[in-house]
Amino acid sequence: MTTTAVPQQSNGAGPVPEQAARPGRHRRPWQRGRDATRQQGTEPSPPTGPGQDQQQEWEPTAHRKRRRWLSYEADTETIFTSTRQAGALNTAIVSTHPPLAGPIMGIDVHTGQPVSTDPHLLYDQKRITSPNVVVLGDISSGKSSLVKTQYCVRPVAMGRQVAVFDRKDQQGRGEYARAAEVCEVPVIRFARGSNGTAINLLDPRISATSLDDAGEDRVGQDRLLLMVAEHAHGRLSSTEHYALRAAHQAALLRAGEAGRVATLHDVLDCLLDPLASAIPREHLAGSGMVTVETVTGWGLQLALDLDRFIRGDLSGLIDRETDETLNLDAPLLVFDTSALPEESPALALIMALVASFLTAVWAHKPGQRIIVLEEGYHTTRLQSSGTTSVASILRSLAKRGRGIGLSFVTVLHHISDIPPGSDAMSLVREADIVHIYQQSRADDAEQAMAQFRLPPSLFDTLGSLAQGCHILKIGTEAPRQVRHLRTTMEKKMTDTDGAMRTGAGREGAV
Amino acid sequence: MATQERTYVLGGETRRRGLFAASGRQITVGVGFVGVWMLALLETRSVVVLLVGLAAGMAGAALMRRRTAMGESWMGKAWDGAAFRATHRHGAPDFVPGEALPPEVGEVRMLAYAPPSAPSAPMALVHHRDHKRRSWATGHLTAVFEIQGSGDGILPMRQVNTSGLLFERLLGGLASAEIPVDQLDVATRILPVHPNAYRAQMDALVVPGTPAKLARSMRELSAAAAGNTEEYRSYCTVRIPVAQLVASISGTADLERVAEETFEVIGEVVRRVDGAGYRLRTVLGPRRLGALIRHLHDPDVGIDNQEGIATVADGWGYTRWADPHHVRIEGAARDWYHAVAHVPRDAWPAQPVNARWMEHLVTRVNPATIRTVVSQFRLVPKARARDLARIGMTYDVATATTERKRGQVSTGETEASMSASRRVLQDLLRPVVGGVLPAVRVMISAPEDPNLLTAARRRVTSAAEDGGLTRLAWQDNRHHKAMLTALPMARGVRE
Repeated sequence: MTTTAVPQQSNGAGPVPEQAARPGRHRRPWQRGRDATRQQGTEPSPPTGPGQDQQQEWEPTAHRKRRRWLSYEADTETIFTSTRQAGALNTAIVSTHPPLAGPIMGIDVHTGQPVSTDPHLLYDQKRITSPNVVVLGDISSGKSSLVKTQYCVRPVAMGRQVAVFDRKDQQGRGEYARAAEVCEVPVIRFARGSNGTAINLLDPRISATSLDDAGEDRVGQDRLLLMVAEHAHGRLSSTEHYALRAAHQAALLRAGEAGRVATLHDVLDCLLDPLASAIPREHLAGSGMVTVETVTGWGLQLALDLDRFIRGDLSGLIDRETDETLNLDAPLLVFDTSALPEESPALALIMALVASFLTAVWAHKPGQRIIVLEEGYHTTRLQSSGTTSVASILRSLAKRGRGIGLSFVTVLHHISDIPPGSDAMSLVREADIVHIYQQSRADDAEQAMAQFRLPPSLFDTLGSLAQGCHILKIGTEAPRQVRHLRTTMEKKMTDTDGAMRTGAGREGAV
Repeated sequence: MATQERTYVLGGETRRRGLFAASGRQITVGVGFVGVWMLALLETRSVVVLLVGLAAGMAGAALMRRRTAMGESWMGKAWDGAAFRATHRHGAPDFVPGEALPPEVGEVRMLAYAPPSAPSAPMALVHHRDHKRRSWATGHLTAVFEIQGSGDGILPMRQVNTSGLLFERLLGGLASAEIPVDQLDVATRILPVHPNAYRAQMDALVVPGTPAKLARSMRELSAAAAGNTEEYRSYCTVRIPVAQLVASISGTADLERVAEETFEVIGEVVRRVDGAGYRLRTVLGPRRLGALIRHLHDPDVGIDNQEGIATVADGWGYTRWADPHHVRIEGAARDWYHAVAHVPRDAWPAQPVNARWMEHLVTRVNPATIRTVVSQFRLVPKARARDLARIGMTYDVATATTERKRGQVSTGETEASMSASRRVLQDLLRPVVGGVLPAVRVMISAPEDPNLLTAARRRVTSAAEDGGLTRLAWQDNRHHKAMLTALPMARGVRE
């Protein structure tokens, strides 16, 4: 044994050490002053002379004596039972809350505990293994408010960089315009033609190939190009695929020689006018089996479809050089896609392209980031068997996100919005932070419960959650019912019902 | 197939089992009194002696009635009031720091033991003197450790049942095991998130250069969080009878050996508690335990703030003023009012409850109220528990037979009591089940204004009623003493 501390304090007689004090034996002057009585470990000074401060004796001997005689302990008689029945008396039924993970998101309805859900801090606390987030809920259940606050402006205040794909048109502008105002950043508006922002699919900041130095899969220009081509043309044959790859390489070469950045138009040109080097092998060229015309033929149909696609749906969006005015260091990047037609494939493609572009840019800078995919079901729209889907691109990014401090927040209405087995479902399945708002339809509630292994008792709860209340599941922890907490400014910022109220035109400023 | 809810029945036993529902000491005193009275009557043949004896007998019976926990008699209350007035001088504090500890703490020795493996992390041990026998050797030691707590969130029934079963097994295991532990207290402290702590944490998170509007919003968020949220801390106190501990030591039981053995026992209890699903956070050393006791007196001072604490005794660092309805502590920043209640014998619910029944007092008190909920489990080994249950049942059967012979209509109390005894006897047939004398106490605190405390009392009483408790016994005239039972000292259970 290294240390045994000696008895330190006693309240009476007995085999006690020298410090033992019998109550009332050494009376001290009672010092009313708070400061004097609060000096820990310092004894009040004894009287300096006989009779001094007799009036201040803090308790007369008679009272103390009576108190000792009458001071039976507050013992109480109890019931007698078995340990089997006493099992109900456990008070340690609420775990001590771990250190708050970022700003408070809401309050646990049952325990009153603060709940915080910053993905980066939760990951740091080892409470989750994937930093990705899913938010589910009926229309007007409060999920947008959660995302705008907890995954948008609050992270910005914490120094995180947030990118949002804003989809909803709200009286002529995206619904995140107010959030951008609060963060004092401009909105990046995507619109067809030349009056919107463009991000070049062949931007040199995006890697040309989808294999990194370690030979692992990543999202490069070739994969994005294939995705766009497949959405324009359908599934590519092996010769079409080859022609596209050759055109891509040629476009980069030609643009490089011209001292500029390649664009999709260069790829188109190279599909229609391939270089001699596009022929797969020298002997094939020498024997005349494959000529430049043959390669042109391989890619002709694809080129025409791609040309139509670029000049149509994607016009001015991804076929120009990336705008130099685009400030990628801004704390909040709101990509307003509300001007794009609802049924246009451009929407999903833009999501995949911008996400790839951002991750490519962010890969070279340390920091923690969040990408919010509002209306995440758009990612599933462009998917046909054997093609490169938008969701698969996003899934790849999400998987590699940890390496660049990236968390994906996907917002959906219902699980049924996503076809089973799609890559988008993987985004949902692999999320470790799940917010489930009201699911008024029984089948939606059932799917959510099955997907996230929620207790059966929650079935009725999911159908009747009040606005702003939701079920939160963090990692393997038990789900909890949480009420989202908003400040006055956040309430104004997240108010999406303005248009429904009288005098809506006067509102807007946060 | 739906999982059946595991249920528990605590009520039924509304009165003491025994002759005249009195304790042995009460019966001895009563018999002695009657003997003396009869002798005096025979000797004096005086009407005055007759009347005085009758009056004294009635007064004694009224007092005894309170002592048997059959309800608070007016005489019992009067006695408490008189005792309070006799022992408290108006305008003088009940306790002044720098003096000895408050009288109800009794004689205690504060010890610390650091094992060779962790010389810098001593464990606090409090040695309580046995005041009945006036002996330290038959006293007990207590040690405190903090646990993580578990089971919050929305759990499937199966998991609730399992956690209940594990807790039962923890108690049953401690009661049955050959380890010198006779009581386990589980206390949960519930208090609002400290505004300053949260504000400081939030301020540290917000980066410079944040737009003013957003920064203001973040400050508002931290204030809202501090005002609306609660935090929970759970502690276990282990009571070790010194005599039993010493008996288990081979060789000389000097202070060092006793401390070593205590450390081993605490280790075993911690292991069992961990096995029941409650992860150890820390075993409390003298400073940490002192800080906890200080925090319970003055909630403004953080539960982990050890500044100014050298020993456990420093926890009692504030001047205390006893009032019949509360205790006032002159805290570091402001005055705090405290009140303590316990669940009396006749208030336990007779209907089955589930494993999370304590939620009513732990989590369902709204609006937020600073409180400590303590469950005390005085463990009774199986053999003695069987005897107690059998004797209890014998008395109940005798009472029922008497009532039947007299043709009295039963109030149902005896039947309920019999079913409680029968239940215990049946439970004791199973392995890893022992007997237990459980007590539940609630201490509430409110700053500055005693009216806030009154409102908190109403809230807690209401929450208790929601849980099926017929009443809470607020310890008026005795709050200053009852506070001890809410401290982590494993005190207050009468056998």
